[in-house]
Amino acid sequence: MLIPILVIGGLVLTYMGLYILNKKTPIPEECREIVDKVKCGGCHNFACSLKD
Amino acid sequence: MSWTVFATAIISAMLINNVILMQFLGICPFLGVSKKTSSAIGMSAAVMFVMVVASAVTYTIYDLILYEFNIPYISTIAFILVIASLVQFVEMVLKKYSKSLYKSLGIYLPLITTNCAILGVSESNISNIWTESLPYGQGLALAVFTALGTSLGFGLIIFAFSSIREKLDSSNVPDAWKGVPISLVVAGIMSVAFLGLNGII
Repeated sequence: MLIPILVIGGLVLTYMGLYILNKKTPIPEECREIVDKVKCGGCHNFACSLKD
Repeated sequence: MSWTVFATAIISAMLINNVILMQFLGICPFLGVSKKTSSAIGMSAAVMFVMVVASAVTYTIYDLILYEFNIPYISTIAFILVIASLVQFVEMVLKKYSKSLYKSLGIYLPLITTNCAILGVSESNISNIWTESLPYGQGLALAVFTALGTSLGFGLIIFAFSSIREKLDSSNVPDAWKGVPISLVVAGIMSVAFLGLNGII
């Protein structure tokens, strides 16, 4: 019972870590324009780093 | 294992068991990102990249961890987390080191987290390719080639569909059929057309 919890817990922590690192990584200046253009509320993907 | 096996895996995944038209996976980007050919190409490239890497990672995790510890029942949850993490990682690396690639793929990467075609390929690799007796290297290679074929099939269909939709935009379509209805009719005809490829292997 402990191993599945550890595996899932490890993967969740990995995801959270990568999500935070991705959020902290600045979007390159030359890509700002294209990113601003697609910013929208149309898709409900909570993991999307482009949404405000 | 000869190259014929790998070639067969690619052609079969690309044309015969096409992920969109035969398995009905990845319908969301198929309809949502196929209005313009340029968007379709960007999405296809991003899907190809993530699908191949995700297949290799999920196959490895299944073979080395889930099977070894006798916990294959958590494979779906584990694969979802692996794919979501992989997308975040790829996006971060592209932002940092490959600005040109981020410019062309970056805006499509977050959408891939919710693309069920990626999860579908990872799951089908385990149910159709993985066996206890198959050596890890061979299974991994077969899974990667299957993912490559599947993503090429995804790209082929989404590109063809976007080209047809662009053409339809400038065509004289009855008002009631404009937009999504005529697109769905086209998708249905494409699906029937691809049934004809069943006998090529």
